[in-house]
Amino acid sequence: MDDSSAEETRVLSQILAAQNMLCVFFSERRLAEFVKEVLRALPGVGRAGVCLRLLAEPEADLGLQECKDCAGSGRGLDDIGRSRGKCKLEKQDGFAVFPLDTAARSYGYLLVATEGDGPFERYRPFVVNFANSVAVALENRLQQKRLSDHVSELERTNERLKREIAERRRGEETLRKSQEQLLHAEKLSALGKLISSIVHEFSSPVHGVRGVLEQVHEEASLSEGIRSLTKLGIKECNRMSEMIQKLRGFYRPSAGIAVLLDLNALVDDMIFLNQKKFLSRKIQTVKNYDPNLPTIKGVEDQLKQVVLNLLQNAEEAIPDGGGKISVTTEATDTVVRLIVEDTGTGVPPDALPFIFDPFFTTKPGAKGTGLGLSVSYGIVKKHRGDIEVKSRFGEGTTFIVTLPR
Amino acid sequence: MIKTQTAVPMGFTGETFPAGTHMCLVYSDDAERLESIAKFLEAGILNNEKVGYFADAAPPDEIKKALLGHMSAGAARSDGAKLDVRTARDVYCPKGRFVPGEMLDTLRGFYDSAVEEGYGNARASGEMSWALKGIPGSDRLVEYEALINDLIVTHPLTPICQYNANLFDGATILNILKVHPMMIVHGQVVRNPYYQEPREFFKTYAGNTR
Repeated sequence: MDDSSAEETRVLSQILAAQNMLCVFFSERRLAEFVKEVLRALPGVGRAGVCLRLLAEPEADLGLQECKDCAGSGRGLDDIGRSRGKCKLEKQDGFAVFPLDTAARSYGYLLVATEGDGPFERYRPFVVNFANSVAVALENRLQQKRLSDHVSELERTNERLKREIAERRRGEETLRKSQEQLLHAEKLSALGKLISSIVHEFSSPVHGVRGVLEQVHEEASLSEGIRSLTKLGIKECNRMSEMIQKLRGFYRPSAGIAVLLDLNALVDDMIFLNQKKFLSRKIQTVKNYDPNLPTIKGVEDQLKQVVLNLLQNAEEAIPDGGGKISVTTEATDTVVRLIVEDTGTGVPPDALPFIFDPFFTTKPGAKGTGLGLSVSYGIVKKHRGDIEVKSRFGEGTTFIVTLPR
Repeated sequence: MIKTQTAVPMGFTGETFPAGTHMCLVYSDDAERLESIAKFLEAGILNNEKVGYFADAAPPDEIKKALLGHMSAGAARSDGAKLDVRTARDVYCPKGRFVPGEMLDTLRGFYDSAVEEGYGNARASGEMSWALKGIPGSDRLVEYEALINDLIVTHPLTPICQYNANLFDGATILNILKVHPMMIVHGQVVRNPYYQEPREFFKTYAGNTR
């Protein structure tokens, strides 16, 4: 192989190798530098070097490449020779222009300074091929950017959808809770009507029977045995009256007046009332009061009833070996919270949804009427507050009462 | 000096090449790079070569774990301990400055220790992005790469130098191509038509300090 053929082979190999390397260049600027270095090294390239000019493409951010060699800039092929004197390369005697075109579009062009009688013309076809490869590399860059933009858009859409789904779930949860509260209120209302009719129907007969028994009891001719029986009958009538009064109290809205209350003091009083029982059952009480707890407005005896119910429930849930009841008070900007937590047996998961229902009880036998929590729920709601329960079956239960400041 | 093996396996290609083949890997796809390099190192371990790796992209432990993950289960399980991964900066610039002559001594020492320890040969690969962190002397990187070609004549270890095209500018990469006889493109080892022998290279290299 003669020298010129060897030279041609070498140049061709270099251009092919450079074309292979184009695939690894991701950044447009690095591509530009690499391309210019490759072309500068070709035989016959003039000292003015190489100018790479890319057409502005906002969406691809390819931008207008200002050639660092000649500090010139221009836009279209029409600008060549009319760059207002800035481009040194255009002032050369000879320069070759290689468009950077693909089938889809034009990306710009390469200006290569050529020496008058130099061998560059021999390699022009190779450079044309190389320029085509550069255009393909730019197109790949554009497609990559578009793909990346699409992916980013999809990710943003995905995040937005996730937020909307979360928002919808929160809305559904709020709706569900509102429906539960409405159902509970309706149950209480129906129960109240039932009780009202029971009170009305039974009150008079019980009163009448007691009256008869009292008259009989006063009769001097009665034997001691019969007198004892009438006395027992009167006692039972009194018990029935008391129960009827309690039911009436459950139904009738309280006429209590709301006043400013210190919840810490109120809770402390109720704990004091139960202290003896707690001690006898080896139940430790832990108090975590917020010393700066603001006052709340409420009906004192009703809120005492709520606290008492919660403490009694906690005590009854703790097994015979003893345990702990923790009472916490805390405040935010808008509410005050009372948290009663016990280390009792907890509430079975399938019972938890019904815990505030009237007459629902998990206590065995005749212990409790099942009205305590239902009454407490009603009282808290009347105070524009909320009561919720969290329970771990086998470990304990926590009641959280939230009241407005 | 080890009685040189005539050919050593590359791992990521079925071809074998003479021990002491100096290669560069210019990449933009990190996953592809990691896979090729892992196979290169694994081939060295299985060929009873002393193997070293100089990491810069991540801590040595992370890189080692990633490399072992690309190796076959057998090599990773039984020979993973033979893969010595160090921080590139500690190897190339142990005193906080890059001095080509000192690094060449380090490579000589690496090869000589392989002989003493009974290995059949030695190979290494380094992530060269450490040279972009402003370490004094890092502007002599290309000079160092050119001089490796003289070193491997007497100490034929097989090195692959890794250059991230997203980090190094095109002009530097073209100079890097001029000093590596072979280059790896998409997992294929190809003869580098830009390669210049060190003497030829230093005649025209602008940063010539010889």
